[in-house]
Amino acid sequence: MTAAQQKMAFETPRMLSPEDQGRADYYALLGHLMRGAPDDRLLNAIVVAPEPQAEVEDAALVTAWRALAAASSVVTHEAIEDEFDRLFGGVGRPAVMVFGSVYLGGFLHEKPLASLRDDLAALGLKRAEAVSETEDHIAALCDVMRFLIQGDLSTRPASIEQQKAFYSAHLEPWVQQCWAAIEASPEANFYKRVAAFGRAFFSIESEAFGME
Amino acid sequence: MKDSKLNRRQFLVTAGAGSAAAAATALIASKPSAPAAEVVAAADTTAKVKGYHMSEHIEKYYKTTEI
Repeated sequence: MTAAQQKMAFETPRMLSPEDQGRADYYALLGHLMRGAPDDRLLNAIVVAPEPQAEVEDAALVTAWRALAAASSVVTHEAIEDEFDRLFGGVGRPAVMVFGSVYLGGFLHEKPLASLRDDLAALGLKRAEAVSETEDHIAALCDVMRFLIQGDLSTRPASIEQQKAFYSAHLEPWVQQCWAAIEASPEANFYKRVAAFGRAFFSIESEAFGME
Repeated sequence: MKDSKLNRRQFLVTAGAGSAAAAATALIASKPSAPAAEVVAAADTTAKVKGYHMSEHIEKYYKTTEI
């Protein structure tokens, strides 16, 4: 190996396979969208991004992406902000809850949350101090998955087995219910498309993890 | 085991999850209203690891021990 190659290898320590990079990116995008209303730059990026390439006709992910991109091309940040508040925030109980514990534990939120915190601690992860939402927020869980897939400069990507264990325990049992609730909400417009895309992506994740 | 890994990869590609559609969007910065929060990690599939940025939700525990 030449010195230049060595340097390159050092500077790019983890070249993920395209499918894992794609997964990490989708988790990153869904995390962004569920954390708050996307700004105009992100909306524009969704519009101009190349479509997902699937090897089957009418793949659910591609169809859902097209609808999301179409919606992104006609909405404004301000409109989505209002929608986001009505759906997920605002005063009183939001129209749709996006916290796993609500789906997993009914009103006994502490138990699933404690189990999630234990698993995060075992992975060396914790909530950033500036964040007020609990760790079972869908955006936070998307973030964890992205981190597990991608790692960072000092952390190796987690194995598929580790990813699967986390996903099966903390996302799979409830996440499709959550997307369905968003899609069914009369308050949802742009987020109907986000939820449909989330549903398509998580269906693929569940099926793919089932192959391990 | 190896076969199942291959099947899994093939399945992801077939279903479209392996494509770079979200790469550009994953680069977009975090909300301007949260200046302390960082972007979700840069996701440039073509090259250059630009360094890890803490996301606003998750940060790593400070490691006090070495194993």
